[in-house]
Amino acid sequence: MHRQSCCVIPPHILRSIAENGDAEQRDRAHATLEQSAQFRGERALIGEMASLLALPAGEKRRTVYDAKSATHLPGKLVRGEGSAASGDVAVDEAYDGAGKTYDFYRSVYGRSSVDGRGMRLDSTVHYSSHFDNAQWNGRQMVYGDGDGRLFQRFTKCLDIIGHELTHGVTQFTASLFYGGESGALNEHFSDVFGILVKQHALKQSAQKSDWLIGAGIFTNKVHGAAVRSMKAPGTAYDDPVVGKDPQPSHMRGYSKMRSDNGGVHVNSGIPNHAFYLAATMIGGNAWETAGRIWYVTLTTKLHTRATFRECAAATLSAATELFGRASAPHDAVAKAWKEVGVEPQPLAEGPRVPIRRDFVPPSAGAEVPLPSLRRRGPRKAK
Amino acid sequence: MRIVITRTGGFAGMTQRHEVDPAPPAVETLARAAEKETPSGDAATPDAFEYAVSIDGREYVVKNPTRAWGRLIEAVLGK
Repeated sequence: MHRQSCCVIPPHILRSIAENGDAEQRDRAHATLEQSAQFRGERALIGEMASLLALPAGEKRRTVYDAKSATHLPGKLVRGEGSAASGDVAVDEAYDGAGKTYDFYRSVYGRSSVDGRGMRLDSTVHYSSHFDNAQWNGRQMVYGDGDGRLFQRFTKCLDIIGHELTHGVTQFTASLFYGGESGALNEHFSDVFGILVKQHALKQSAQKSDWLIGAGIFTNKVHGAAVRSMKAPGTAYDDPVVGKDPQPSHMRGYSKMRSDNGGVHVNSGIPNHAFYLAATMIGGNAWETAGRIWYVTLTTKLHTRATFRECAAATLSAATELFGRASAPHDAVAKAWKEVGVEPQPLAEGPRVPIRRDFVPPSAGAEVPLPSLRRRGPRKAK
Repeated sequence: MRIVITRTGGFAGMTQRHEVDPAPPAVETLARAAEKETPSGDAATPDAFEYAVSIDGREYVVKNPTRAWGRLIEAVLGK
């Protein structure tokens, strides 16, 4: 066979460096791998090798790749865990943002990475050219530089990085189907934990936060503060070129549009506003009480096709478990959903969240099938 | 040939509409090539763009563009 992917440093030695080496040794091994793979023109090899070099599961492990304006993933490895800043602002923002998101989930909710098992956090920056997007592709984050006319680079906002990584958390927990109401909830949880990552990093209380998603991502040519507002959905931007923020803040404004997977980025305004209301009614740091209720909901109480009404009931159930039925948090959550016109509807009996014990993170660059999103609600007993 | 592409979704969830009428010959060629392939309309990944494509009134929903569909979309939307 022409390709011999393990001839540079034998895998057992790499593994040993990964487990026993210090940060500098890991760095040097990374550099060696990078050079030799480049020499042979085997970009895909880097990902495989890098995964062997990664830290043992349970620790923070980050890698950042540069797509160099192309669309091949993951691209060229440019920064690994513990290595020095690269000087490329997008690379370093992706690295730092993934770290702050990891630290947030770990220290606040005791969660080890997006899969709960220490999965390595991979990011690719400089994806395509003038690319106006950031996305989670099922296994990694992908960030564009923006077109420079309307959007700036997508690594600029910590809440966007938190948003994308939370799509990963959702994939491994509630696995919310990305369409219609469950899709809007998928977006909602990403906005909730995206803004909480930012608030946590800034040590900012619910009262102090601007509750904006993507604040500062627009160039100064666009009339708009951000992409979405949880405080006042529908008011984030209003611009002759970009249009007007279409988000509703109440069920009466629910959009039945077919595009955008049934308006997942539009209707998320409704639960987003409910979270904002609950968090500000409770007061203090939003990640401590409202955030905990939403975290327990996402990770233990929902099913793939959950509706807004079921999500409302699930948050009330989580609030009861955590703080009691007659507690202030429970009261605030109930009032918040009422204010946005969502009447709680209890979920059917049975286990909610499909537990994925069989997951093995694929090697970088591999095509990754999405987790099965087909199941409708809890499985019936036969 | 008249081609209208509406892009929705993406992290920002904004709608962009682009129309070419008549489409230049090079774009027509790309459209004919694209229409030979079934656009993958399912398996949406979070925050990916979604495209509604209309070619002389024939409607397609494209979520994960194949190479041919990707070329057509890029040609019509520009960079």
